[in-house]
Amino acid sequence: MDDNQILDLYWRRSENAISETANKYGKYCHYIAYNILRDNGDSEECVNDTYLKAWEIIPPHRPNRLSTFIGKITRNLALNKYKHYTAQKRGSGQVSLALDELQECLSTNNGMEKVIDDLTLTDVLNRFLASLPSEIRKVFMRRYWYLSSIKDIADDFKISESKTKMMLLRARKELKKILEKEGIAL
Amino acid sequence: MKNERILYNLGKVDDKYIIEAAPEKKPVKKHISVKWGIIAACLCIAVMSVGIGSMASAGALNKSFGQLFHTLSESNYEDMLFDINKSATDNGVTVTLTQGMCDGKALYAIEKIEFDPSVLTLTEDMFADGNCPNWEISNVIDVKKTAALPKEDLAVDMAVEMVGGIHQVIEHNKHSMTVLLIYGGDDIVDTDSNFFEDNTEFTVHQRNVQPSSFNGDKNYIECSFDLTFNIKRSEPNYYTLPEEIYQTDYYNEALDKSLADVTINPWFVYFSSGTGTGKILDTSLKSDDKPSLEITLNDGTVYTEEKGIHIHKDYFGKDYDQTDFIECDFDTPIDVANIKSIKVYGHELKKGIVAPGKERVMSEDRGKLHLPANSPVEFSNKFTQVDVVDYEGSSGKIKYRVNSVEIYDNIFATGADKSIVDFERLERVKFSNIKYDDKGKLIKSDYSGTYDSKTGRLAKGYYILEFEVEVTNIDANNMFSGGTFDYANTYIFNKFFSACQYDRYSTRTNKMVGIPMVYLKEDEVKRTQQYGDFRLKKGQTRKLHLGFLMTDNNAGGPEQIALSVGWGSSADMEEYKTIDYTYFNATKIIEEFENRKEK
Repeated sequence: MDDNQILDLYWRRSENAISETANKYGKYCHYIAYNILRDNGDSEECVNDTYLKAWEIIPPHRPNRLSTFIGKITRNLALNKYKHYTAQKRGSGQVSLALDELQECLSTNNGMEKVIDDLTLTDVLNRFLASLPSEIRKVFMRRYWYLSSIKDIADDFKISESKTKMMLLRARKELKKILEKEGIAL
Repeated sequence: MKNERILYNLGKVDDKYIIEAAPEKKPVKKHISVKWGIIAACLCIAVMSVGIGSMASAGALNKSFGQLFHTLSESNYEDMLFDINKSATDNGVTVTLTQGMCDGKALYAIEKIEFDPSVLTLTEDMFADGNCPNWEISNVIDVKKTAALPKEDLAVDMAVEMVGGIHQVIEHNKHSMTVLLIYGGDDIVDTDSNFFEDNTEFTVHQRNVQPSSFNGDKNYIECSFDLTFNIKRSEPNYYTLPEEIYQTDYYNEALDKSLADVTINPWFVYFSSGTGTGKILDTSLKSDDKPSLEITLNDGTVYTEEKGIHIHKDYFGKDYDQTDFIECDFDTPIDVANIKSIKVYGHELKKGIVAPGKERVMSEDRGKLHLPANSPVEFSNKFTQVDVVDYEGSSGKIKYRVNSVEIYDNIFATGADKSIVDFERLERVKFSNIKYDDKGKLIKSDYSGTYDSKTGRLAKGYYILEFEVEVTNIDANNMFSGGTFDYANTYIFNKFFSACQYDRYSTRTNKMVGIPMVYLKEDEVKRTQQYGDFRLKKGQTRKLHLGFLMTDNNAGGPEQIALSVGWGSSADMEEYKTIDYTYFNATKIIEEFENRKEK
């Protein structure tokens, strides 16, 4: 079933919309959630919450791309769940590592930068991504959007882990340069 | 948190980037038994062989697959192959091409093969030992287009396609068939193979070997396959370490020997002053005006972080037992033999170690390191004890301190990541009159130290290791709340705990101890579990106990024991702690431990 048909089901308030979404994007969502939560049970719960959220939003919303729409919901829910757990106890996942790595992108200058809103930051990130070579961009997104582990990325892209790390390192340096160049503080 | 904002806002970037990077759906692998797998593999050969033979007999273009491979496209593949659903029979074997597709590079074909048992009877027994008995095989190598990858070429990601194949002629029961296999390098490779040779990545892909049925009445097999191969230079010219080298322990002497005076590629090196108390420079000499690392070659070329050097980590500690190091790589390989000088913050490095990065040594894409004898610095990939000073007293109370930080995948909070530390305590032995050979290897030293079993060396027997941790810096670095925890959630982490008789313990991931009773065989830990999980506030301390068994006297080499304990925590604990070994009778160790725990 194509995305438009699935969206039609949502708009008709047919419960089949959920099952069709699960059929088509269940594994995709689970992949995203699991990379963040590292727990099958939690990931499953998160994916189910994704369907519920989609059910609540559609209609009135009608996303252009169902896949990324669903994926973003999953990612946000998983990050929130991760945040909730982190406040309570320790666990495992790629988020903390990714955050540590992204710390390198932050400027070490103090006082001279402008604080920007999320919209502007997203715009900067879009421009940064556009400036990257395709392969590096994919690796970057796999790491920091999908929160995939270095090993998974290396396996999927058929490159060594060290090369993956190197590509990420250089991408982060580029991002730092852009942020610094534009005098952006977060 | 700022980095959290980046992470969250990445969630809002353009959909096209999300889609572009989406993980590909992996084909579902159907379970087949090993035996059936073997049969399938063998039958695939038969399928391909018959297919190729049949093409000829059916009057289709009589080209080798290698030629077809090169010229096939979506528009012409059907002309190259015989028609979909058309059958051809040769030697009593009927081949029907049921599906075909070509993306211009790879051929995807599904063929149905049928043959009567009287013509060719295949039974599972024939493949019982993993071979195809009574099948006589000869090879004909047919390379239609060779790929040249000059050694001197420094181009990265240079991909060259090689076209061709190995035709195998297999004879079985006098029925002759021509078989095409895949050619990559000088090996015939199996399905989905990816291997390296001389800095060259060979990717060969053969897909979907799957019998649909197999019975004694009418042998029937349906299988599909696709073949692609690419040859790709993945890195600048360097040579991969032989497997036996990069899989050896980092401290293994074999590594040292094999790397000495051999091929060069120090594109990822680790400058260090050595272990123990080695210093690259006095931290007071650090300068904002001078490059942190500056390498000058004999031809006058200068590399700095602004030009060609990428520094990943550096450490110039203030503590006496900390090792200074700089970990970096280079845009292009630098010939270490041509290094004239190495400066750190403008100060020339007089003595130290240049070693391949630890991670890279373990990695399959490591390069070898050239270790010339007459260099401005001593080159060695093996840490050598260079100095040991000032250990506290002889009362059994010994100071130790953070040595390095390692991050592992399974840790949650960033604060914890940063405090997963590898604690080291060298025994209170003092070295003097140290002599090195020209490779920087310690060949002679005088030492003084205690010989009590608690300290200088551990005799065979049971011990309880008691040590105390103190939370000194609550910095959970909570990435979402933006604040800090008011406690450290701490446990002894099952990563490190080792006792060995070497000058440097071997910290081996996943071999560690947690529970109070641990079993150590020299430097090998047998039981691994997590020890405790407790919360401490700033300033609080807690005594921990680990029991272990030395299975042999700790003798030989420098008379010392190195113990390491690691833990995960959401706080930093890097102040001096005390550590104490106590010898116990084996039969009483658990009892003693329980007593201590209760106290």
